[in-house]
Amino acid sequence: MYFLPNFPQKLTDFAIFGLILLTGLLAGELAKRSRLLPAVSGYILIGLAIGPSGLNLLTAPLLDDARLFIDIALGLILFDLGRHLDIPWLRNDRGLLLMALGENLLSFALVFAALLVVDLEPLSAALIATIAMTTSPAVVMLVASDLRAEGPVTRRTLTLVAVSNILALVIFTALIPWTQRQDVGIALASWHSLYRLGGSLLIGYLAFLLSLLAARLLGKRESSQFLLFVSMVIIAISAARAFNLSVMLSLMSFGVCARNLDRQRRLMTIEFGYVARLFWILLFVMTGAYFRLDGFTSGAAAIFVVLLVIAVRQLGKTAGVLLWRKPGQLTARQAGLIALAITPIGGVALGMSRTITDFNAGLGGQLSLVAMAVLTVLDLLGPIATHHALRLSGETLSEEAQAGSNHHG
Amino acid sequence: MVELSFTRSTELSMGVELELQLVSLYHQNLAMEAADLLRRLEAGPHAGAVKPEITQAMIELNSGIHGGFESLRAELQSMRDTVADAARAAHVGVCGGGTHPFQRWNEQRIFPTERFASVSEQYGYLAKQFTVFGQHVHIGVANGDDAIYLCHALARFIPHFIALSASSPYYQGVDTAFDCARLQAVSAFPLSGTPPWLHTWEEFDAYYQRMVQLGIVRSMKDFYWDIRPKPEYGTIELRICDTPLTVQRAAELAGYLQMLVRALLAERKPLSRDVYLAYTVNRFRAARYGFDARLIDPVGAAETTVAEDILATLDELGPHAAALGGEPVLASLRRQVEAHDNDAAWLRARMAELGSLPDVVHAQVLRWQD
Repeated sequence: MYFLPNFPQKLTDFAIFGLILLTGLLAGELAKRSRLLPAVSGYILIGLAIGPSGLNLLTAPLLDDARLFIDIALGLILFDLGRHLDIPWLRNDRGLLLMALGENLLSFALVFAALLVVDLEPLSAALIATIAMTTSPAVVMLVASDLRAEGPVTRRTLTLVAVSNILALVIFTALIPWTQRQDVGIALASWHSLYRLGGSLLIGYLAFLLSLLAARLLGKRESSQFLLFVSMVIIAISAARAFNLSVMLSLMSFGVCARNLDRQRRLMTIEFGYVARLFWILLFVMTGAYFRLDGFTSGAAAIFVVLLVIAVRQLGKTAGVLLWRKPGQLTARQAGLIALAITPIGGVALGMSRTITDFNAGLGGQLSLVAMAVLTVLDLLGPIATHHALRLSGETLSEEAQAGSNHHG
Repeated sequence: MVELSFTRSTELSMGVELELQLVSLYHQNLAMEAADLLRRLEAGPHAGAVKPEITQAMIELNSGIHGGFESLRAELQSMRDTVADAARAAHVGVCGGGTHPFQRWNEQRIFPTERFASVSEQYGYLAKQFTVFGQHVHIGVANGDDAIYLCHALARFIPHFIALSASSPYYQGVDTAFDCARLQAVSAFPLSGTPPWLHTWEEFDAYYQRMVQLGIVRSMKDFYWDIRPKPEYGTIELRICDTPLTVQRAAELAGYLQMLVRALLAERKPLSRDVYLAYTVNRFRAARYGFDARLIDPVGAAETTVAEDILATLDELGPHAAALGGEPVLASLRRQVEAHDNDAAWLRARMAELGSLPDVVHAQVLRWQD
């Protein structure tokens, strides 16, 4: 009959979008019920299952189309993360500052040295080491939010995450133009570095100024300020893209400015709640879909490099936190849990490795083998580490209490 | 059965306990930081004097025993500075105030000790809803009979302390229209209220033994009265006050009670049970309207406002202030009453100026520090 559709039909992108959300939601719930896994793990696993490495429902071109969503999700997360970087705290608590710098320095140095030992050229080694420095803000913030974790360990974990991401983004943004130095020359590559770095920070600052102006009109109403931030995040993303700047650094800079430069406290601290959850599920399912296990099938040497990077990164982060726990007056237990909680490497790192490919396809291919395999392993194990670290910290709210709470976090 | 013996203490000595809020400097909500902050304070000067309270977002400062207002104030200031230093390094806010303006009671976490776990088990949601912050003032008395006498004699002054200390106009995110919303959380407990109409320590002991026998209480701690004898310390304990926003005001409240006790013991007027006819109504009105509350006086039958009643009382305390070094307290209280300047008014003014409750909490934290 003419009014009936023709079968079989191809799934439209629109339908797949809904499917991602639904399957992600369900897989997250199943993961949570296991009590061993956080919801994030469920999102990632379902992504792996329906992505190109699995059932190929989420195909590579579709993933490229969905990049906008990933960018918005990451933008919101980085803005939120920037707001967790409280500079007066780092000024008053030198111990925490030392710990943050220490764990990043050590993990960078150890990964960099290890990659030089296995004969990677220095720039590639530095780029991977920079990626390795980061702790996934998305994973840590979502796990903490799911567990309703709050307290000394959780707060410090978030601060370390913020510092590691801002450092990594600054280094990465400065290094990335150098991947093209053979084509454009050193002078131009330097100018490019400066442009990307300064431009990205400036975009963040301008977004902050614009928010202040708008907030003056909107007043301190949560609903209005929520929409203000979401729209400013989207505008900042577009601006960063239009000017060929780092989206990630721009958004993080926006958040840091909002936390530290808002002297008259015009901007409210808003939890993104349900809307953020939507982006988070999309982000993690797609992160899972991006994963490639090829690194493991391409020989013992590649596996060795992957495991080496993971091991020395973990060593650097753990040693950094434990070595500098005393000046911050943390107990050995607190420091141990913080070191465990900062294990995940994730969304930002993914964005970074994509950026490498954008800039230099050949180099991207070479790097992505190692980087993707490291990301895959750490993104599967990292959320579980964070989940258990926060649970063991005793800073989480019990399930019964959460059920009775009308909080939208 | 063991007799409840009343420890002898120095008459008119005083001390205070202050329950303080720990707040996040990120979102200004209550912060679950008590255990960590107490650990940081362990090595410091006032280590034993800062204690855990029922939820993880609360600590309690305990002063030493003092003869006068000045030394009490000095000690409280020093304790405040010690706590503020540790809190600054840990990036946690500390502040006064009888309630947290917008915390959700169901998100509170009970501090892990046996007693608190038992309170939590016994009272269910009330234990968490009891996330309110009070100041307790102890005044030393010579014997148990005096303690019982004072519990009744002070009953008519309870509204003064409510209005002077009130610092809880906001609760669960709304302006309650009360100056002191905290008292409603206290009233929910079955053993809140006032001590029974008894007149000697012997009678009180018999009453207490009966209550223990009936399984109603296990210790004096189970009575949540507005004012109660504290036999272990040899004191009476006034529990009606909100924690003020400054240690200065906390010390002044203690100084005022000390002068009142001295005056009451000097005069030893006969007691009238009629004071309790209007007790709960006066208590309610003071919590609701603060200084403007109209008090019912069943004994004298005159109606006055709390402000007028305090000013009249201050007029009579002159000689006692002179004897106790309390003149600065009298002057300061007079100024506060005349200006209707309590902490509830201050908090409402900040809300009008700043426009959001998190910003009000931020202002509270700054006020506590200076």
